[in-house]
Amino acid sequence: VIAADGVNSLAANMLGFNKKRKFLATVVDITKRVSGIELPAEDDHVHIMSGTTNNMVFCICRRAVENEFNLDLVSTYPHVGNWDKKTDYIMRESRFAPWFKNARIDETKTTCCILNVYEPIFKPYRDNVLLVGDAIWYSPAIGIPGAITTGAKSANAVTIALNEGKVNEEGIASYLEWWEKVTHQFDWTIPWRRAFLETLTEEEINYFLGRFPKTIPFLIQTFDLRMYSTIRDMDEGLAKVMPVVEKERPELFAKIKKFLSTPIDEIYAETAKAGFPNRSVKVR
Amino acid sequence: MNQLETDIVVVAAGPAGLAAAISAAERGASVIVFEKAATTGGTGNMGMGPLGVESRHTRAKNFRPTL
Repeated sequence: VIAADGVNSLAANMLGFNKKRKFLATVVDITKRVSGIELPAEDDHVHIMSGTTNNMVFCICRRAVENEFNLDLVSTYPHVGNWDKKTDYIMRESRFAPWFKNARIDETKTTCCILNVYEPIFKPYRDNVLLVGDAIWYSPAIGIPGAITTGAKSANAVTIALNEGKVNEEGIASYLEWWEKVTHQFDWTIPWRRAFLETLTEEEINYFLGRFPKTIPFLIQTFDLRMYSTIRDMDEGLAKVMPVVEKERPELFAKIKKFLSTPIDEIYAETAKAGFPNRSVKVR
Repeated sequence: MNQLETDIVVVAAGPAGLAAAISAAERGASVIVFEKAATTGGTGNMGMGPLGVESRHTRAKNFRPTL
């Protein structure tokens, strides 16, 4: 069995993978279909943190259809608020409002999803079930290219195993080794540490990001460390920016420094406790 | 209840599941895909999905999924 049942995988749960997995947060995501956004650059994806809207991140994803975008609003439970107000704020009042002056939302195409964010499953095989896609990690880390990659690679390994009569762990060892290598290439908590921006006010974000020496490029590829080259760009930027921030805004420097040096469990203690897997709601 | 036989069962028809099913079928395996939703595509239909793998924009930037 190849289980590709998503970020809240029932298969992963039933097979017991989630019992010892580190859990950070339940992420709530609302996506609005918007046309007519006028971005300042011909880019595919704009990812923006907005401090004044209570721990909310929003990003603009260009769709494959001309002049169509997804306005993606993301927040961690229990910080979710009024999405319509948040959308209105972004489009009418925020510093990005000029991009939206001719924008139009198609409310009939609004979608939403809930993502429970765990650490990756480092060995996604148990009882002849192989997990793939965002069943083994959270969706933004896997992405669509990552989902396709794990799906195709796993099926390749499984068909070879079938042909060789090794329908067991040994038969798919090459795939498991590849995935283990992918997950151990980096510290999976790093992107979550960069969420310190969400704790800043809008003024602080504008000040801080305004001092970055270059625009951080968008990434679409997964698993080839491009994601982490983006993180590296951020780190290089941080190294250059932090001494300036320390001098100009010592209180902001202390705030960021504290976040970066706090253990990941502590940072996400509140959201982990409130997250859906930990809620004491009995489902009948 | 019908009893079905197959080489590989794929649970869910999102980008990962469909890629797995197609890849396995291309290599000669019989495959059954189960999907609980009314449509296929999974996360590909949601906010992150339409980033346009192989779209004009991704081609222009030379982004390619590497298998």
